[in-house]
Amino acid sequence: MTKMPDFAPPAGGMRPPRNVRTDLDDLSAVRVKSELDLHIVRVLELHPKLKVRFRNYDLASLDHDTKMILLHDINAVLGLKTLRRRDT
Amino acid sequence: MIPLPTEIDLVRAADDHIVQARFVRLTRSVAKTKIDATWWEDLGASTEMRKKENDNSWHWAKRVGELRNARWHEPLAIETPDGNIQGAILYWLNARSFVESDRGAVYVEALASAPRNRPWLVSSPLYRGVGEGLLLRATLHSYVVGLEGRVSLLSFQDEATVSFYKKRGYEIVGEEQGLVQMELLPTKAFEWLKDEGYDI
Repeated sequence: MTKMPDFAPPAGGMRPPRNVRTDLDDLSAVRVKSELDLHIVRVLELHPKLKVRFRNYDLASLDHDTKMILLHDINAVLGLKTLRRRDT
Repeated sequence: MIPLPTEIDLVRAADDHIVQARFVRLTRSVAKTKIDATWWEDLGASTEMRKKENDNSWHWAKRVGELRNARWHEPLAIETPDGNIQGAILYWLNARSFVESDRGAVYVEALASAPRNRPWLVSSPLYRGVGEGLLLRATLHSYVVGLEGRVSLLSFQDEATVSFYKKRGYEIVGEEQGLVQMELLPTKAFEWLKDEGYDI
């Protein structure tokens, strides 16, 4: 921790966004077994180009390690670095 | 495992000691017993003061229950080793940016630290860094799903609240139903994450 954090006042109106993306499925029918599955499903839905590229993957048939490799490949396409925190 | 932090360092206000807490999924049961039923009890603050708090009438359990099947919705809380919930956040991953409507953003529906952590409400607040940690978590989530750290929210109009978000790089971008639309844009989000030590 590099500096002393502030005390935060509450925010938000406890109501859903008015500007929801209408190009996305609501995913309520999608079955996921884990947080990792949900993360992958969300990312694929958020980025249509990924859906085309990774359309042949069936999460239900993949083990954890294979899912991590899949996520690594997805992140590479999106240009995302794995989150790592330096000692601060 | 999702590449997001599961733990957070809070600062105990009494002695500036670091206490390691963890992020937990906010369930209806936890919201009911550890937020709605306890946050506003035994504070030592007058009814008048409590009523001034913008979130004093929020019903976390009801809201979490309504959204239990919403797959774009993320209900999170920070739990200290004593089992108490020190703050909570509800956010969505399927919102549009207020600024660039063709871009996605995380939208914070509600964010609050427990009243026991508010120095303007209690004489000896317990922890610093709760709200900031929850906000940072939402920003990291925006990054890892490819939304470039964009986070939007509605701030209450009081100066203290608006300046808290401005200090973290949020910009005022509009008004909505008496609240201030604010958004953290990618440049500022990356600055904040790097400042927090993330190698992105």
